[in-house]
Amino acid sequence: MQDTPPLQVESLTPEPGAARLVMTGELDYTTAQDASAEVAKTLAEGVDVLEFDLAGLNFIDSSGMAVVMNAYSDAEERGTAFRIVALTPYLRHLIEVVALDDVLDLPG
Amino acid sequence: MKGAAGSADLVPDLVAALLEGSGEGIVLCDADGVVTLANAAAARLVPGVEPCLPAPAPLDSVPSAPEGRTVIHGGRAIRIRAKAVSGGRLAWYLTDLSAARRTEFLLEAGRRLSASLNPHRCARAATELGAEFLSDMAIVLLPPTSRRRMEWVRAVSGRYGPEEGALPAAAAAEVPGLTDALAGLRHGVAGQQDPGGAPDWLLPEGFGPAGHLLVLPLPGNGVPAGAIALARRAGRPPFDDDDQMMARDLATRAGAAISAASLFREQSTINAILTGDLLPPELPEIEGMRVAGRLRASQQAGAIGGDFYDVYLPDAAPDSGIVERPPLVILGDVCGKGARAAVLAGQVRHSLRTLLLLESRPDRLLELLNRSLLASPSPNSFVTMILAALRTAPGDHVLVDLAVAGHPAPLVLRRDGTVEEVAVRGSILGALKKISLWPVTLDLAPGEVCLLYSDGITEAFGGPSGREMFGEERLREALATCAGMPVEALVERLEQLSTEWLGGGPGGGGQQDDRALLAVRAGTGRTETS
Repeated sequence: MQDTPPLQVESLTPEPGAARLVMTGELDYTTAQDASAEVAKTLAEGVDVLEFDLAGLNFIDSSGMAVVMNAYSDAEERGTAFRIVALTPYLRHLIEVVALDDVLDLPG
Repeated sequence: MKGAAGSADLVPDLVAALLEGSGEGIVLCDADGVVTLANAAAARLVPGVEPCLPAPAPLDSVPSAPEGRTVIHGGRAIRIRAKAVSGGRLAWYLTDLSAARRTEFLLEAGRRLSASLNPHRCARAATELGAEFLSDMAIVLLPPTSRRRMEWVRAVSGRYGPEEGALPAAAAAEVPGLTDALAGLRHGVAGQQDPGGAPDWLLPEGFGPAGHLLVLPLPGNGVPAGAIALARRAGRPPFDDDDQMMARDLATRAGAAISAASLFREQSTINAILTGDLLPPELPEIEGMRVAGRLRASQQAGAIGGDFYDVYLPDAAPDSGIVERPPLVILGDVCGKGARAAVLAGQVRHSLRTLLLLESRPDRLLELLNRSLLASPSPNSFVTMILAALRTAPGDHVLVDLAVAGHPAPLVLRRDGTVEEVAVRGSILGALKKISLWPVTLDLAPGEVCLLYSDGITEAFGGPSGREMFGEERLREALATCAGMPVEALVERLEQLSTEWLGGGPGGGGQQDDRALLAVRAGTGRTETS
């Protein structure tokens, strides 16, 4: 059995005014709500920049993609910059499939 | 208040308090048979017992023996054990067997009523408990259905298995207090009714006349869950206070169980209806081509997935204002699982059906759908989909106008067995105010196939290790082996390969997502070469 929760979200402050959420594990139907709550909490703190580090995700489904898309649109609405600072090749592929690669700020 | 207080000079306060707190009745008398001590439980069970008075009946008649004797006193079954103590004194210990019966009843009721999530089985358990512990006959009447019928379940003491049936709802008025009970109200003193007023249908055949009748509501979750009637034959003792209390316990517990089971059944029905909205349609014949589809829903309980496909034939009699258009096939995937996903998929399919009355271009249709999804009040209204308008062209060719929104691009199987991914892409729907779409038109020669699929196919985890994704490369290779196959056989083969992939791993396909496939093959299968 698993001892660790399926998804862990760590909140870092890489520089003043910025928040970086480091997600590790599975971002899916069962964990999306927790992740969304963490995003909402971070945005409510009034940061200028919201960053996602998704390099530690070993699974993501459509509900997980929804967390990323909602973060993008919620941040845009508040005038908060949103960027993904790290991601897996698979996630990059998914973002290309849903054609969000020209909209989202992805690492080069 | 009598009891241990009268013996305060005999025993220290602490011992008096201990005796007073005992649930078992304790009476002590001296060698002359005069009571010197009686605790509260004893005074309750045998109201005549008082210090300084001779021990009353039934205590005086109980011989000193370890097994004691069970007597009926004041409507209660009491086990009385007499024991000689020092100095010629005698002690009596009194156990209320009616209370033991209630404890046993409560345990049984809890066990049996919680054993099922089927309202009928809960009703059966309630009647059996009633007939076993409380009465000669118990009948549960479930709330009237939309067809103005009420179902009943009846159990009789000593007969095996309850009987069941249905009656016109109007028959409830024939039983005194039943109409009120079905409305959730208790009628009369503690639900007691005139047994002479019971109609023939209430009692089983050969039961004889009822002497006592209790009719109680089964309180449900907001709405009444039905009613229960308990009857004892003429000549049997009436329902006393304890019986009435137990009957109310039974009604409360049965009501909660039936109402929970009904909710569960309703939920299952709703799930089935919603899943029905996701079910693929029968694929119609389209002139000049063959279409086949497969949809395998996720096997996970409560996780209705969001894959769907559909075919929209042109309006049979286009009117003024209704656009003329070729047949359209779609395949899509809505975000999330469960009832919400099913509702969203249903909305998308119905919205599209309406939009198609006024618009025929696939890319324009996707833009309109995106706007409607953005305006949707429900969160996570994200949808990926492919629209493919199918036009026949000379030489048995089919021209496919493709628009893709956030969905894996279709694959094409050419006549020579090569497989291409169609260069078409576009943004997922429901996320962005302005979506980008790059639609294309695909030319299928006779025998060539365009395959639409959902990510459940390529993302199926399995294989030899059980942890590997099926992936696009394997799907392409599999498709390449299908050259020349009828389109029905082609989707069947691909589905089978994907199922085998899932089944290969140690997970046995437990984690699987929905998997959808839809294939269009140009030509009718006779004219093309392969």
